[in-house]
Amino acid sequence: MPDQDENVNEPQPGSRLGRALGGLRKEAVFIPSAVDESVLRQAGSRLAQIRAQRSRRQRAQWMAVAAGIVLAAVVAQTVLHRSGGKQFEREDLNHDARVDILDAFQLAREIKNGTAHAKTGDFNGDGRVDAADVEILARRAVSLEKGGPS
Amino acid sequence: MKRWIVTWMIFWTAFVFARAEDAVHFKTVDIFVDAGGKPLAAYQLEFQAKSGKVKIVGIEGGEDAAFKEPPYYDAKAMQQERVVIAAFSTEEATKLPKEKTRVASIHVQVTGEQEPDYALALAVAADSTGKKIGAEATFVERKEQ
Repeated sequence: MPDQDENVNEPQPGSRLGRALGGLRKEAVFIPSAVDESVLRQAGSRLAQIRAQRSRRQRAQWMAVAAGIVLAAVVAQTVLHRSGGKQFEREDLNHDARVDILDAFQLAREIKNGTAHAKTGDFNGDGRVDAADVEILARRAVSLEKGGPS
Repeated sequence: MKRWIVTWMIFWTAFVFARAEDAVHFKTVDIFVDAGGKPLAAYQLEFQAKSGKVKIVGIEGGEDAAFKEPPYYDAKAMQQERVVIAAFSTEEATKLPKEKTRVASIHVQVTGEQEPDYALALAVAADSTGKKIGAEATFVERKEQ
């Protein structure tokens, strides 16, 4: 039954449409090679464009990932620097990457020579650079809480 | 009678051992720094008792005028077995010790008969310009008088 229903809309062999269709030429359509080549060229060009776009998109994605990693590293460095490193660096007056008695000694010599600056040598925040600031550095140098000599 | 003697000997031995176990001695360890001919203006070192029941009970300064004052140290080191000491002098180079000099003395309390074993590590030494110099730190336990 379903076959009969489907055949209802199909042209019947004896109908006019069926005859007209049967009379159509059955030979292959001739397409000139120049057209073929042109179509292939355009298709190739379009495919190359698509590949290039995909490549650019991928490159942009990788660059975004790399930029994210660099940004995260910079943020982490800044946070670490602010949390502990900054104070350490400030007390490291002789810039040898450690806070020890030589930093207190340097500040004491600067005070003695009159070359001490409140910007770098005022550790107790009283607006002056004096023996009290030297004392703070020296106490920090011998503190056992930092795990021995730094 | 024999039984009494044996009992008395056991008690005496236990008493002697207990006394030896709790015996407290006070010792002094002298700390020296030898700057090898260069003017010693600053030093920092760490002293530690590696074995034995040792507690640091006092720290005093050295023999040279430049280091006569007691060095800097963390007050928390008292009653402990480890201390970091440091000192400096802003005197001119001519007034600073150039040879081996006693920079500090550390007083310790030793409990028991075990002889303490000490360790000393020089962290840094510098001349009058703040320049680091090679120096040697040593210690000697002062003989009891």
